[in-house]
Amino acid sequence: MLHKSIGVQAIGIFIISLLICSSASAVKITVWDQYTAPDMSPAVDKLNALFEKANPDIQIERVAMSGEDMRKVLKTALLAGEKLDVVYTEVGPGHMGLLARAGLLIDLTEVYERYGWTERVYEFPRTIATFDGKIWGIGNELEYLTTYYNKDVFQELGLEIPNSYEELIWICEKLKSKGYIPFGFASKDYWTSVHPFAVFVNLLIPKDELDEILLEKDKWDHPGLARALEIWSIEFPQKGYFSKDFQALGYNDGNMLFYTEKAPMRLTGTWLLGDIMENVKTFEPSSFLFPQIKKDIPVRVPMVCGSGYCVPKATLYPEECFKYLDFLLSDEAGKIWIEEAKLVPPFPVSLEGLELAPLQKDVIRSLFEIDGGHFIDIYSTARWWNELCSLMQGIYAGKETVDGTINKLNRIWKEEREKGLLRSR
Amino acid sequence: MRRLKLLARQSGIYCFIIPALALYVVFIFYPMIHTLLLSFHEWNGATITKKYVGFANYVKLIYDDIFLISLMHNVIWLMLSLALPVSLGLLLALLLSEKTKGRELLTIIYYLPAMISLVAVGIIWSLIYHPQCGILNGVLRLIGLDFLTRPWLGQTPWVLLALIAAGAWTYFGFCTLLFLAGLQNIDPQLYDAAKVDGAGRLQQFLHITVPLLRNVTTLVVIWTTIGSFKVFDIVWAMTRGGPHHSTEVVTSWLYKQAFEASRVGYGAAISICLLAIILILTLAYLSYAERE
Repeated sequence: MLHKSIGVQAIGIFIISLLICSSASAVKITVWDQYTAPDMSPAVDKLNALFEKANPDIQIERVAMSGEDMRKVLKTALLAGEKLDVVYTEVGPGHMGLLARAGLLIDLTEVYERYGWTERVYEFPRTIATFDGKIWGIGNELEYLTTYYNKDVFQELGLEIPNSYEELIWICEKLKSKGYIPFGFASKDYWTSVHPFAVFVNLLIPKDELDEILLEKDKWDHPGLARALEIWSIEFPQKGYFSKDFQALGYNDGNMLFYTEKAPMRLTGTWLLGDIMENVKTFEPSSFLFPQIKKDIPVRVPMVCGSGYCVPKATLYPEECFKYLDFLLSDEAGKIWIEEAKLVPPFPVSLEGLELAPLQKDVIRSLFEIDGGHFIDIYSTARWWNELCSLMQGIYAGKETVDGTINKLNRIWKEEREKGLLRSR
Repeated sequence: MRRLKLLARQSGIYCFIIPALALYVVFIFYPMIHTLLLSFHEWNGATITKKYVGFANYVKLIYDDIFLISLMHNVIWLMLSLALPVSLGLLLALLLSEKTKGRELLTIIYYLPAMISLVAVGIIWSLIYHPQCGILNGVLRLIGLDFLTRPWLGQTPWVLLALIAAGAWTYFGFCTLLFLAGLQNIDPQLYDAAKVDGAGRLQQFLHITVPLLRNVTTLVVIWTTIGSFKVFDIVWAMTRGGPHHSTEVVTSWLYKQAFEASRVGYGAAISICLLAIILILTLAYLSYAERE
């Protein structure tokens, strides 16, 4: 009896020792990401579990937080020497660019070559993670700005997708006459105004001239800027294309106007896709690109990556981090990104065999057909961007003029350019 | 022997003081000094090196329109906080100090809003002020006052007043509690004597209650001043200083500069200014109160 008991104890100790040894030999990498949305977070957990299964020697410790929280703590954490291994942060010059220029990130240029990411990752997510000629990250969540619309209302009123700005205005008037609010727009959340602004800037300023402004000039001296501000901030509200209380409504209220069929159009990003699919049950949603405004400027749609993965210099396990990123760029991960996280990864994934809603398929297909334009956020600093948002709110309220807004924006743009904080060619 | 006893007694005292002092030094004094030093630098919060710029950040402050507007909003917040929740608190305390039935229960009810997190308060009041489904516009419509309905959080000057009202809701209970405690310390015989001398209610209030509540009033005024200048949570939760800086307060502007625009040195200069303003106002009121 006694022998039996000793034997059982010995086996137990042996198993425990084995477990301790196996966990001790596994490398733990800490990943900070921003996938807090209910559909995204479990998908990322699943990806991490798959990676751990395929790489038993690496464990992932995931910390998910909102973009705002990430902005608050990431710089301080990195500067304090926190041993972070992979972080998923915004890709603008004020975020990833700032960390890269401060020497807090690993230059991934060579890693891109070594792992074949140069061929695998689309050019856009690579370019926006490039600062001063070096690649510092991998942009993920490819998104663009589109106009969602209520297909049922359009059909009921005999409306077609607009091919020109004039046609769009005609649609707005028609919708208004039938008691609809043409656009579900809300400006209380200050950042919401920047997206339509980006759409108009790309439709009113030729590509090469916009490139020049964003990457070289210290001044927004193109008349297209004033026109972009005028259309969305003055003309549309005055014509009654927005709800009369849009200044007191938040982003979600704007979505609700669309979901509850009060507003048949919603100009926003493809990040809303999952939300639309979950909330819209009473009508068929679809999308179209905002139509051409000037005949000599083709439709270019602002594209962006939600954020981008990068590897802090403080990591003790760079190779394990690269391995993890390589897994996130695999075919296996690609399917989960699209089907479960409902986002578009930065590399080609075959849609065949995937269970996708028609709207989701449309959006993904369009992404590869559109002529990508500039999403202003990723070219400006947070200071300039915040000021733009606030000044647009001022124009809605009649407290700011378009000229005054341009002057203020130019002053900050110039200061930021002089300090080398903006992107350059 | 005596010396040894004294030393042992003193070391006992220090044992109690040192932990609190250490916490104060680490979490209050050191950050304050560090912030002061940061305010003389230009720093984006990410680089190891900081550029020394002397008083440049303070000079910039003078020309920063939005900082000045924010400061004005804080002053408005202070004035209205002194006028509304403090006065209401005093009035309620006076009513409760009478032998009212259910006094304890009412005191708890008044104090309840002060126990709710300010972020939650912001969310609750954002719903109350919602232009389409908010209870405020709903009630106004119900009683036929449609002309008074408005997008409360989207229109100046209403938006700032709406925020102050939400802030006042959380604060008046605290003022009531303090005044009530003060009133309970006043000897009732003084009122009896005043009544015998033929003093009316107003005279009793002006000549007995007000002077004897001086200490509590000083505390409430200082607390209100500090609170009005450091208000942040409720503003951030409801409007983030918008629309178009119409509810910008010094702390929200500080936050935007230091943490969003990565102008940490400038943000530090704003916080030092804020500290100086609060200190000056508090000391000025204290010296006035003591002189009185």
